[in-house]
Parts: sequence; C-alpha cells; structure tokens
Amino acid sequence: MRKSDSAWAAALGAAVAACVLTAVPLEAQAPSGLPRLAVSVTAGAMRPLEAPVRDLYSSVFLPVTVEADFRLTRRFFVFASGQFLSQDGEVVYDLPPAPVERFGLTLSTTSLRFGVGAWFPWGRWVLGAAGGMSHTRYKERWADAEVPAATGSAVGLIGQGGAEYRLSPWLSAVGRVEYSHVPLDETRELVPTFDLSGVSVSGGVLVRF
Amino acid sequence: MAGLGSSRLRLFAAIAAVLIILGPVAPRTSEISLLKINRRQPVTVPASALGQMAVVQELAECWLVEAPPPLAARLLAAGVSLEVLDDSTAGRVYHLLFAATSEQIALADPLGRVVHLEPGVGLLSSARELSRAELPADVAVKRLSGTVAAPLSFQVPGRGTAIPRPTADARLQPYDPRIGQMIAAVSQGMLSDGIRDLEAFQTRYASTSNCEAAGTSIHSYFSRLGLATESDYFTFTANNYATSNIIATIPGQVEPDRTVIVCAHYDSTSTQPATNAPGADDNASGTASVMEMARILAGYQFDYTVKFIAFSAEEWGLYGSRHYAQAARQRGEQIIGVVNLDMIGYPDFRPEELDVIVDGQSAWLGEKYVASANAYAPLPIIQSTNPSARGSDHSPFWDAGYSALLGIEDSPVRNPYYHKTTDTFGTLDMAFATAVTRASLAAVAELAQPVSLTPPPTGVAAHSLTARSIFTSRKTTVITWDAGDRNIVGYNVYRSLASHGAYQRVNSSLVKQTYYVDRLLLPDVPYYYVVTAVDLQGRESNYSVEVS
Repeated sequence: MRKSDSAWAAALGAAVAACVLTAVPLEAQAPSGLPRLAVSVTAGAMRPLEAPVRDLYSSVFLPVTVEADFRLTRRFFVFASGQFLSQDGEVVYDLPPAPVERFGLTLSTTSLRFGVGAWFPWGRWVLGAAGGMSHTRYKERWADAEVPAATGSAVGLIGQGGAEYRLSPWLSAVGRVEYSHVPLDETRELVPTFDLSGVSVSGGVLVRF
Repeated sequence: MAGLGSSRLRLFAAIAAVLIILGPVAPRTSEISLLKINRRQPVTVPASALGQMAVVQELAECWLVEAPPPLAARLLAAGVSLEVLDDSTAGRVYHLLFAATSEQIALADPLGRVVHLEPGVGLLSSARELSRAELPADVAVKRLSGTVAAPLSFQVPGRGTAIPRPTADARLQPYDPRIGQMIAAVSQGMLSDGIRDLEAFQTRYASTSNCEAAGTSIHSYFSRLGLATESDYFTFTANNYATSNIIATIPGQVEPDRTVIVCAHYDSTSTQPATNAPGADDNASGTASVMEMARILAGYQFDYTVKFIAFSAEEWGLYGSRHYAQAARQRGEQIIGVVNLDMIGYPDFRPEELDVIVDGQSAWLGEKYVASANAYAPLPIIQSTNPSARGSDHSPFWDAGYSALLGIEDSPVRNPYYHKTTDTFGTLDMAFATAVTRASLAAVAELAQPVSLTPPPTGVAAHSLTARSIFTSRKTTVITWDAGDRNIVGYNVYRSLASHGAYQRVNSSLVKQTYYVDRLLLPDVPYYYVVTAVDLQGRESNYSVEVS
C-alpha cells in the first residue's frame, strides 16, 4: 500500500467532512420531529487502492452495505453497519514451453463498522459525514488448487460523506462516498500482504422508524 | 470574514490531522549492519525478512549476516537472538581469525576491533586493507567478502507444506553393481604400499626437494594409470617457495564440465620437518587412498569428470588447496563436490569411527557420503556440521562456495604421533584405512555416476515463477531438457528438498514431452530436480545434472 494514496484519500474524506461541518448553516438543521432510527441498504462500487489487488481481481469491487443509524442529538448520530463483498480473480502462470495456467481466486470479506457522524437536514436534503472503525474478516480461496484458504481479520478506519434525499417522511434515497483503510499485518503471513483499503461510491434506500 | 477564516482553519486542521495520523513514509536507508545471529536457538522470522538478509559467514554457533539496520530491530522483536557487531559496514574491512586459543586471536587487537565470536574464532574489523604479513602468524585468516550459500535454518511461519518430505528409506540411486565391483577391487596391500612409499621419502615437508620428489612420484603413478596428469605449480609464503599440486583426471562422458574431486595433501611436517617427517597418518594415508581410488576408477567411465588431486603445502597453511580452489572459482569450474581425506589411518580405539565434517552448504555431501558408504561399504561414521573446522584442504573450497567434506579419523586429532617423527606406518590400522577408502570410493563413484547404457537427459534447466494472490504465494517450476534419441520412450522427474538428497519421483506416469510442470510449490523452499530417460527396453538412465 502506498501511503501517499491513503493520505490523499483520507484528506479528501476529511475535506468533505470539514466542508459539510463548516458550510451548512445551523438554521437548516434537522427538525426535531424526525425519527431517531434509520436503516439503509446500499450497493456500490469500490476501487481498491492497491494496484496488485486490482490486477488480481478487478478495478471495481461491488460491496453491499446494510447500515443502522441512531440519532443521539439534533446533529449527531451513531451508526453500525455490515459490508459484504465477494469478488473473483485469477492467478496466472506463464512458463513456456508449458501452456499458460490460470487458477481462480475468490475473495470474500465481511466488515462490521461502528462510528459517529453528524447530519444536516436542508429542506428535503440531508447532508452527513461520519467516521469510525471497522473489523473486517476476510477469506481468500484458490479454486482447483491444493492451496489452503487464507483467512483472518483486520481492524481499520473508515470515513464517509453522504447525502440523503427525503422522498417521504420515512423513505429516502441515499448516496455515500467512503474511504476505508484496512491494513494487514505482513508479519503474520508467508509474504508481505497488500492491504484492502479502497474508495467507494454507493447508493441505496434509507427507511426511518 | 472571521467565520470564513475559521472554517478554512478547521479544514486545514482536519487535513493536517489526517496526514499526521497516517504518518509520513519512513525514509529509506542504504546502510548495512553486520549482525551475529545465534544459530543454536530456533526462532521464527517473517519470510519477508529473510530476503533482506545476506549471510556472509557460517560458523559453528552463529551466522554473520548483513542486513539493513531496521531489520535488526524487527528480528529482535521477533525473538531472534542476535548481536549487532557493526551498525554500518561502510568503509570497514573484516577478517575472520581462527586459532586454537583466544590469546592468539587477541594478538590482532592492535590492528582494529576484535570480537570473539565463538571459541577459536574472532572477527577483526579494521578501517583499511591488511596484508597477511600484518596479521598474527599462528592464526588462520579469512577475509570476509561477498555472501555464502549457507542456509539460514530459521523457522518461517507458514500454513504447512504441500510437499511430502522425503521418507527416510528413499534411495539416493539404485544399487549399481559396478560400484560394488569397484569397492571389491580396493586392495589393502596396495594401500599399504602407497603409504610406505610416501613415508620412504623421509620428509615431504613443502619447500624440500624430498617433497618435490614425492610429488613427482605421485605424478608418475597417475600417469602410469593412463590418466591425464598435470602438475599445478604455485608459490607460497610471499613467493619464497614453489611446489605443485598433482592433478589426475578422468574426463566425464556426459557432462565433462562438472567435476567430482577426491583429494588429500601429500606434504608432511614434524618437529624436524626438513629431515624427518614421515607423515604416515598425516597424510600419506589420505594420499595413498586417493591413489588407490585412481587405480580402480581409471578403468571406468563416468557421467561427470573425476579429479584426483594431491595437494601440497597444506601444512604451511592450506596453500595448495587455496591456490586450486580460488583458481577454480575464477575459471568457473563446476565442482559438484569435494571429498578430502586427511589422516585416515590411526585408531584411537577400535572400532574406529570416521568423522565426516561439513559446513551448511555441504550437508548434502555428508549425507550422500554416509548413504553411499552404507549402501556399498559400511563403516561407523560420525557426520557433523562444523563450519569452524578450517584445518584441512576442504576449507578453501568452502570459502570458494563449493561443497566439500573432510574425512578424518578423529576431530579433534587424537593421534599421539601427530606432527612428530614417530608418525610411521606401524602405528596405523590398515583395515580402517581400507574401509575409509572403500567408503570414499563409493561416494565418489555415486557422485560421478558410472556411465549408464541409457544416457541421462542433457540440457536440463529449471525456471520458476512465483505468483501470489493477496495472502498466499506459490511457486510453479518448469523443468525442461533436450530430447533424447529415438530409443527414449519417456522421462521421469525426481525432486528433493535437499541438494543431491533423497530424490522422489513426482510424475505418476512417464513424461512424454521434454518438460514437466511442478505446480504450486512453497515459494521459500528450494526444490532440487533431476531427470532420467527411459528407453524402449525399460532401462532407466542415471540422474541428469541436478537443477533447482
């Protein structure tokens, strides 16, 4: 993982959050009558920051996220979410005169996230930013090969910025931009590992209770 | 304006905080530290760290390793027992000092910083090049330069091997009746005659005319056998004296560029070296053994070249063997292995055991020697790995990066007549010397491989590609070889986890093409391959050259 990549991505996320925090006037903030609990389901596209990860799998991963937000005050909320990802890739051996051999790969991750955020209703719009920690369990399998599956977990950080458009008092369309930093401990593995950090854009629906 | 300024300030503060948390990329350093790593303690280190370490010397109790300074801290954190000998090797010159006592090593103190690495071994670190004349005379010296192929036997964390370890009963080569015939031809009488003939020169102390006469006699003996024989002249002790190694050769029939060497030093010494140094045990016994092997093997043909070498000036400080080994390295001689016999006749008790001493890179050779002896000419053998055993002609071959072993009756020496005028034929146990000769002949013949009816594949090469997923790395190796003649119906591929070790066949049926793919191997494990050809009659050839 190139630290400059993560630094730029984190800086971008921080900039978005800072803009939201500073630019939205207080008068536009939430009416007190909104429900405290919201559940959203989003699907999106994540770009892994590590080039070798993209080379092995794909430039775009497709995670699905289920998130629950609980409003603590007029401005702040806590959230818990689960993100699920399964991606196919391949390892290629090209050693002439033997024919090229390809071994399929499957990477699956389940990430549990917790954090806090701030939101700013603005008419039918709600802008928000959040940050927190993630615990990601991963499993990578080689298809048709006697290679043991690699499993493990990693603790990381996430930063989000997003917008919500209220279609009705209880239903909204939601879009998010997220940076997730998922470092891996290289000393635990046979080889130095890449990390699973990425930047994603996602969209979905949100229901308030 | 004040509100806008405050917003920008918070924005910059947020960005700065993020960047500080992520931390700057640590500046890289090109400095190299010299570490002493205790090899007695089993430790676990990341495989990624191994690639950053270069072994510059293997010793009995430790490795000397070059590594970037941050790696030393990581290794310490991983529980590796190490000592940083020098933070930076830049501008430093290192000499290893070998001596019987630490007091002898301490004589080098005025020349630089001396660190005692283990009993009898010190490291001299100096700021400039030192000539041999400046260094203590009674100390064997090796200048540290380059890296060696010493295996670091660290434990590497992994997920288990997919490769079955060779079983204990795996054979090195099928029993070859021709080697059995060679063994049977070893004559205790001829061996005794050879020792007595050498002893008859009264002294073979290098620098004396008697020593040169002994060399001429050995040359004549080899020549009479019909072997291509040469005298390899060199000077020693600052060019004051000249002498020669005597080299006889049986050219290889399949891979003549690859050589198996069996050697011994023919010079001697004693308390009266100029006039009376019979050196029956040290080392007429080893020399006569080499001559007896030459007599027998001259009647056979081998896949690889066999060289019989009688070295001179060993007693002066391994000059003859160092001259040969350094020249061999410079001309790129491909030496498969060196069997050095030095003092194989005196039994301190019966039955005597032969000590076979190797360093890490030569461990396979010791195992091969023992296996060959067990198969053809059993005798009690104690094999030990002791890279600090530098006192004979195998040592310069180690330093030149070759595999070599020392066969000796006892290490340390227990012969009470050692380097005395009383080291005579009458003190020897010729049955033991004959047994050692038979065992050594078996090992040399197995290494050189008597020519088989079906020629082994040539042009054997291995190419590996290590590919990785996010978490796992696997190596695939393709072994290729040249097509054999029309009588060849297929090939077998054998693999071992140790060089020249117990090979196991990896193909389930005869390989019809001229390549074999060995898939998804552990990346940090070296694998060694040989290939055989099978002809229409089902006869299998000797092993090909080993590749890895």
